[in-house]
Amino acid sequence: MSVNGLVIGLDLCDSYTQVACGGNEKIWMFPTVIGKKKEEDGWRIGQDVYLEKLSDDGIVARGFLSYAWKKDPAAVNEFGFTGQELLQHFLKQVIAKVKQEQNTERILQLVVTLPEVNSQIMDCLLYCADYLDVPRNRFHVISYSESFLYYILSQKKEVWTNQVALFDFSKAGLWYYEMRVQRGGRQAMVTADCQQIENGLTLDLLDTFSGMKQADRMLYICGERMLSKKLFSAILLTGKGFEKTDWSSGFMKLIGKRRKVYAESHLYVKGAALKAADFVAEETAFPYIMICEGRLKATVSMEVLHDERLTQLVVAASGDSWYEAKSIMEFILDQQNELVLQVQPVDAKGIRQIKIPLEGFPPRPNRTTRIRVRVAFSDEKTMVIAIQDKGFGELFPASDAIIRKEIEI
Amino acid sequence: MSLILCRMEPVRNPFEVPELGVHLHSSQELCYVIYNNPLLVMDDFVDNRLIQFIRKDLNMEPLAEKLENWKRSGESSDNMLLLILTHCQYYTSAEVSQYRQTLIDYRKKHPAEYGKERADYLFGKKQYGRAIRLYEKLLEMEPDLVINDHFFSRVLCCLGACQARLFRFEKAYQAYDRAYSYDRQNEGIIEKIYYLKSFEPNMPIAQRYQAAFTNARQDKWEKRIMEAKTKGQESEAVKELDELFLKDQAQRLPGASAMVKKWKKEYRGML
Repeated sequence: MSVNGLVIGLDLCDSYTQVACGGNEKIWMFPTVIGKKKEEDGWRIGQDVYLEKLSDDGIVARGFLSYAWKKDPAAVNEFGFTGQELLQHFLKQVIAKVKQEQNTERILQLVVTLPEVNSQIMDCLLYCADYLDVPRNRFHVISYSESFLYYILSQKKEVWTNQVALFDFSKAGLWYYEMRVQRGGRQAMVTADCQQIENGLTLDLLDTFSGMKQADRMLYICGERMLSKKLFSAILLTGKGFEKTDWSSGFMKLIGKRRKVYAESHLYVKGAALKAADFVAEETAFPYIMICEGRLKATVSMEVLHDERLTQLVVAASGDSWYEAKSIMEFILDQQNELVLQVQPVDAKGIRQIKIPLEGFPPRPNRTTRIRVRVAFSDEKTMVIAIQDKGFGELFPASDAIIRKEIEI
Repeated sequence: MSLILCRMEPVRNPFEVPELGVHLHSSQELCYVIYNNPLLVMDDFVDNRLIQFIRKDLNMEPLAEKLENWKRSGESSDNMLLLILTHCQYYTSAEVSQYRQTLIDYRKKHPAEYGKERADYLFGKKQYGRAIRLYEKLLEMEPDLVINDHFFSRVLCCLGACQARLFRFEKAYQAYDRAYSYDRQNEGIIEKIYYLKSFEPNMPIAQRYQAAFTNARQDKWEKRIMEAKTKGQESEAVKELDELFLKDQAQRLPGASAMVKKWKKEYRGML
């Protein structure tokens, strides 16, 4: 617990939800299940839920995350609650338990980490933040890739001198993450890629001896493929499948060759808590451009006149979180009837120009048309831009004509 | 071709420029008004009200402070205007230099000529009340090489035009009558008196003008009146009015209300 309140990392997963607080070693784990008595209002989580399950007049809901992420907010489960409602109640109970144990009510920062982040998930979680009374500037959502980066970058430098690999074997299957650092620029760039390994590896295989052997073999082949011809300084293992590693002797031998191997069950939640703590720190402990899922992989800019000089105005920079990369700018058109955006992908040399003609705006004398440009992202690849005619005060009244465009970056 | 990046200005109380009938909501609009209306702003535009607007609404404390100090130390208003233009960067350095030259050119003029240009500018902006006050001041000036009979005649003609536009036909006639006394060769003055008479037939006019209204002249002037009427009927304002009356009552009433409001505002500005 911080002196002034809680900095919380929360790993929201279908089976278990984990919570870590900045400055505290303890990890809270709750099954992602919620229950209550049919006629009562009070919701319960954790072990208490199973008491509800035993009684006839109880409701127990599980697997509600997929409901919550659905586009239709009115979709209800068999008890008549929407996924969003269940998630709101669940998060409220989780946070309440942490607050109670930490003996504080105030949340300084709350960072939720998830396997993936899209606009529907974001909308749902932002509603949850409102329900929890957490101001939006204190509520953030990051992907597992980003948590992985924060976790690794908080370790000793020798761990990430070269590339770092992470194998996550859980109910969702086998996921592979790879982190690399590009030094030499003005700011070091850290990249994380992730992919699901579709090789049929499931936790069920670990129930039998022959299954374990088969799983080890599958992992070995996968490991050979992913790690060959690359220089790794560390390999990390996480997920329920790696809680014990005695079943995967072949794979362990492979990944341990001239590399350090670490197992960390709470990697994502710890990464989220590190990010939450970084938000309240006076100076960031992570001065890197981070490129991963949930972050922009291109810089969008435009040429503007400032102090009588043409200068490049960055609208959104690579490494910005896509849902936080929002901006509102105002310009005056000086013999210009189009908006020209420059998109520079982080992994390519070329700069792409996107021209948006300002059609439908009333003709006026030069420099008497002010435009308001709003930029936001609906995902990490799609920029939404709205250009509004604001006229020139009462001298040349606004038409309020708006041009909206979606741009793939 | 470029985009000028605008700073966000938290304007809560827009700055009113009554002479133009507008409120300013940004530093760019302020610069535009200064640049395009030098005769309006040259003398007493930079006052405490404007400095407060720059400080509180445009959030330009350094500029406001500098203007305040300059004002206290009696700096010329031209320099204060140039400071505003330079600071806001809406116009380029070259354009500001050009503006400086415009101000210098105006300042080089004879006070009477400069005063008349200011009054004419206000007339052009339909600020007849303000223009009348300036024209009357010019008439009080001591004659010299520039301020001669011809000048007084010109000023009185303009004064007459202002009064006529305010429907004060008798005062307009008095101004034209005085103008004619300074310039008896000017047939245009007689023509204007004829128009006043046709607007206000009961208005008494001197016998010498009645005699000057010859049949040939009357035919010519009547033709001009007809042309003006036709032009008026085809004007945008009349078309707008016609269109309004073609609409059903539900649409007509709000439109008429807005139009009357606009006319009232215009008329208040004229006075």
